[in-house]
This record gives sequence, structure tokens and C-alpha cells, in this order.
Amino acid sequence: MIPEEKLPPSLLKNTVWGQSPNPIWIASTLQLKRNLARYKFPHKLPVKELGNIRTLLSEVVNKEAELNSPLSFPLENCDAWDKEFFFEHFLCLENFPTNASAAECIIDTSGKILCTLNFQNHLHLHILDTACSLEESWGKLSKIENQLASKLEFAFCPKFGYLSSKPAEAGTSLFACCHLHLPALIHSQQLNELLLKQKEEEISVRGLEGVIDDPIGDILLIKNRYSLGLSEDAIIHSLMTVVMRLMGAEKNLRTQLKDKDPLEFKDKVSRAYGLLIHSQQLQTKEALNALSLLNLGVDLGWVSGITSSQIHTLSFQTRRGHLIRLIQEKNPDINELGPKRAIFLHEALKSVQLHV
Amino acid sequence: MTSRPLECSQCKKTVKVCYKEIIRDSITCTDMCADCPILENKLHGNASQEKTTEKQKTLCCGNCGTSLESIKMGECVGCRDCYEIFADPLTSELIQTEAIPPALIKSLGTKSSTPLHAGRAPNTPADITLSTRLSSLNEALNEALKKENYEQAAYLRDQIKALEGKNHDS
Repeated sequence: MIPEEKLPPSLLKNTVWGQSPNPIWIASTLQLKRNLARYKFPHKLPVKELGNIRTLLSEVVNKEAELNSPLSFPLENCDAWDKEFFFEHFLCLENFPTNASAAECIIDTSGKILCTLNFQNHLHLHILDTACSLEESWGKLSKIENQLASKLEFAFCPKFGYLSSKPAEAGTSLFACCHLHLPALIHSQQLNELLLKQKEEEISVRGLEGVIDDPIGDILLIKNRYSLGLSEDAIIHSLMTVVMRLMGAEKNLRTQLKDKDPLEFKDKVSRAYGLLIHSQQLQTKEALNALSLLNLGVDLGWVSGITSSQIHTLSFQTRRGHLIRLIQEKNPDINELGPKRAIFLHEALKSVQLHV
Repeated sequence: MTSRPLECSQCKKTVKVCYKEIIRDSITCTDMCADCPILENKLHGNASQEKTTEKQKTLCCGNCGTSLESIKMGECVGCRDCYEIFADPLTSELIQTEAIPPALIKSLGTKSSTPLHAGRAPNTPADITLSTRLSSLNEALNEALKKENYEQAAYLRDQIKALEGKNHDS
């Protein structure tokens, strides 16, 4: 595992979900995928040539002015827990490769920008947004991309746009994703109906683990379905439209719940509180689900002693890659994580009180 | 006055062959040019189609060796040349797998030269401002008002005001 002192401090201190000013729209990510014009795509290259590409890209990316003192992490020096930690922190949609040759992660010290080299494509540029400001983050990401494009020639053709190893990911090769916390809509079973009525063809909705039927932690990922056939502006506009609608609906429903004080929801929040305070072992999914309901309880005035932002932070920290770092386990035993997660949450929630 | 020579029903070239098909009591005559693919099909049946398929199967990128068949099976493309060499089959594959917005599929039709990329070209700046967010908020607000969802509308209106205030300050 990479020692703590070698990681940017922001990665350990700043939990992404807890920073958002909005309790519903908790984070967003934007990713661009690029390939160098003069080289075959990574899976077609021998290791030596991949190494040359890594050296070339690493040199250019590390000198990029928009990146604040970037740090490089060759993937061969990262173990599975490091990869999981990076995957969790940057809210990646695709797993890190297990056996990629000459692959590397470059992270800037803000902990918000990740550049990966020689994954499925030569270069992935990934930015985290925790200020509900998709436009500003896109502006920054495209600025970085433009600066790199002035030094490197990216594979592009007018017909297919930016060329990706997967043809369906060509075009703008832009992938934007917004994380929304929607416990009221999900637990009142109004979400599916809402999604069916307001179906935007360009947008797909899924949970943290891919399925929308049982979204973990009541967190939905709203992302663009297409990178071909749409401009960057159209992609972000469609995304924002759906995000605003869902946020409005969630806010509306929470206000109604506050007024109506329904027993069903009080029961759910109370059970979640009981599980978090008293259980002796907790798996990630049940912890995230319970924390989500506790968070709803905070917003509805049924839970005190903790803020919504603090609960989002805990939800971020309770996931496996982060928890292992927090409890400083050097050789983690997966079977012992459940009890350790429970102890971690008991300590974090000791001042929380239920008023139902 | 000389009569206009007969034209192939497919390509308007001069007719060279009259193909007469007799099935039970039904007789069908088709006038075709010598190169007509319908004639080829009728004379050689599926063999000609298989030949085309076989040809497609062995079609490979000269730069990276990626075959069309492997791409159709969902494997990754190997280099930028693949996009040029397999442009048409790739386009068909993208349409079939619904990797392109429906609106674009409708407008593509038979125009295989229509670009699928609608975004910016290299070295052009991004052009997304707060107006995109305002536009999205206004759209959501209008919908909420249409549905008489006034609480949701109030929330969205507050978001708009906050954004307009931010815009004004900057």
C-alpha cells in the first residue's frame, strides 16, 4: 500500500461527498478520453512502446500549469487497495485495470484532478466537482485538454471525432456524471414513475453498483448516454436539466414529509439509527443505506448531533478503500472489515440523538 | 424517332439481360444491366453473399491488424486507421447497438458521409457558461409550473435567483 506521506494530503482529508454545498447534489465528475494520433491504442502495443508513451505523456502532463504539483503513481507500485482507494475517491465509473502494463495515475495536490495513462486509452483526464459547478469544472478540464493538445497530437477525425479504443466512446469522448442523494424519492417509490415521465434519451440513470432498482446509499448517478452525436454543451445541458428536475422533486418531497410526519419514514429512520448505533458488524451496502436514512432524518429534524455534510463524509469514508486507510490497516483481512466498520461508525455517531 | 434504350431498374444503365423467372404459374421478367447485383444474386444465389461476407471477415486494418469481425464482436478498435478503413461498417454497428442518439440515426439515412461527431474540434475552447445552467433551471421551472408543482417551482426559482445574483456579481 502506498504510504500516507506519499499521497496528496487532500486525498485523505477531503472527502468528496461531504464538501458539496447542496445536500442533494453531492458531487460530479467529468472525464475526457484521448489517444495519441501516431500510436496504436494501448491494447495493441508491446510493453516497451507503452513505456515510451508513458514517459512522453508523463513528461507533458506533469509540466501542465493547470495541475497543481502533480504526483505520479505507476500502477505497478499500487496494490489492489490503492487502486480501490483512487477508484473511490475520484468516483470512477470504470475499475482500474488489474494487469495494465506501463500504466500510471497522475494526481494533482488538490485531489480533484486525475490523469491516467495507458488504461483503455492513452490518456484519461478526470476532474471532480464538489461545488455543484459543472460548467466551471468543464471549463478547467477543457483548458487542460487544450494545453495538452497543443503539445501532443490527439487522434481525431471529422466523422468520428476524438477516436477512442471503443467506437461507442468516440465523438466528444466526454463522460459527465452527477451524484444525487434521493432518499425521499426512492423510499416513497416515486422515483421510477418520475424517471419514466421525464425520460431524456441522452441521459442514463444508475446506482453506485450499476443497478437502479436497489440504489446503494440512495445515491443515483445521472450520466450522459452518448458521447457521439452530441456537442459538449448539449451533453451538459441535458444532464443539468435532469439534475435540476430531480433535485426539485426531492426537495419538494422532503418538505411534504416534514409537514406530514409519516410513520413509515420515521420507522425507517429509527431502524437505520438502531442499526448504526448497535450493530456489531456492518457491510458497506448496509452502512451506506442506513447512513442515507439517517441523513434524511437530519433534514427532517428527527436526528440531531450531526450535520448532513458530516453524514455524507462518513458515507464516503465507510467504503472499503477509504476505511482501510482510515483505520490504518497494513494487511487488511476482509472478514474483519465488517466489525471494524461498525466500531468506526459507533465512534463517529456517538453524539447523535434520535427525536422521533 | 429512335426509342430510348431500356434502363436497369436498379442503376439506370443500359439493359443487357432479361431475366425471366417461372415459378409454377407465375412468370416474372426483370431487365437488368450486366453488373446488377440482383442478377448476381439470382444466378449465384447465397454464394455471392457468402463471398461478400467472407471478404468482410478477412478485412483487416493494415496498421494494427484488427479485423472487422473482431470489432463486430465487440472488441476494441486498434488505431486511428481502423476508423478510416471500417468507417461504414462501424457506422452501421454504432447504429445497430444504439450508440448514437435516435435523432441522429433518423437524420443519417443513407448518407454514410454524415459526420457522427457534433462536438468541438481540437484546439478550440470550451464554450459553456452559467447560461447553460440557467437554461436548464428555467426548463425545469416551466415544467414544474405546468404540473402546478409550486413548491418545486419555488425551489427552482430560488436557484435561478442565486445564479443570477452570482452572474451579476462576476
